[in-house]
Amino acid sequence: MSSEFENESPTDADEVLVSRAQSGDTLAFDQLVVRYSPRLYGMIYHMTSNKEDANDLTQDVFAKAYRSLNRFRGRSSFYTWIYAIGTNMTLNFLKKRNRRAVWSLDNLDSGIQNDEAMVDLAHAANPRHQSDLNELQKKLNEAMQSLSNAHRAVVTMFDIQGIPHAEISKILKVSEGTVRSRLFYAHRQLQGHLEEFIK
Amino acid sequence: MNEPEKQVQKLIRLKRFEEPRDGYFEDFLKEFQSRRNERETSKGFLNSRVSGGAGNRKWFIGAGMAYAALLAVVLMWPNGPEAKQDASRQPIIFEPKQPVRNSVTSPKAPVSIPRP
Repeated sequence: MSSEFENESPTDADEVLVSRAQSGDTLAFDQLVVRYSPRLYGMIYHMTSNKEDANDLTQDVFAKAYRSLNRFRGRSSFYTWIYAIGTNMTLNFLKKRNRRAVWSLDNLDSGIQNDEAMVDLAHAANPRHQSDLNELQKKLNEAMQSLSNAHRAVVTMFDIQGIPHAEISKILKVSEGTVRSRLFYAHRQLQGHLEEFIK
Repeated sequence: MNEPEKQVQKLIRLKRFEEPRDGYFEDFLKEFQSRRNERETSKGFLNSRVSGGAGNRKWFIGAGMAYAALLAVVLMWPNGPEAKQDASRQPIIFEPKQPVRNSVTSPKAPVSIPRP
């Protein structure tokens, strides 16, 4: 699968920015924030299904990365490193949230905009397509939240963000086989939740 | 990959189009910079309190000297074996007074009352 991670090769530029940031250049770190905040926010948002949580967690991830930047030795790429920080912090956050009984699916956000691809899939000819869209979005979020945190992480990174298996295995520090197996079981579980939308 | 699995993937990929409002990431950067400045300011403030200007240094030297003097007094306070030999330094023990009894007379034997 081709992905934005494969097509884009910001590694060299990242190294330069990281090196400048390590020397105290805050503007260089700001450029890294600009470069990676949309992807990190997306990953965290799809993991939590909550905008406020995603915003706070993404801020915390960059703050932690900024504080720990001098410990970054460049053994992995910067995005793998910051994704690993983001994933760990999000999984810890979700563990705590799952322990809180008051959290419910009502807290899930619904923010899909009327994108063309979305309209096509939800049968634009259908006069009830807007309610279908809302229903589909609700079902998608519920289906995602029904997955375990580990399964949701691989679905988010692979299916939604297009990160290759090899990169996911580096981020999560598990084998590629584990990534593939988690994806397989997650897809099977999602089929059960979304069968009404599958022809 | 079977057909239903492909369709599940297609559905899940729709979540790519869930995006925050326009301008969100510009605001995100501003928020990050503002939080960082706050942290740097508070860190700088703490550093200045610890290793700061001449005024603070004077306070730290004064506090250090006072602590050293207190420590010296505690260490020099006599509480070793010599101190025990000095009777004047024996702790005063207040013993409770014995109840006043007639210790001269022998205790009386129980009196038996003859019955009529």
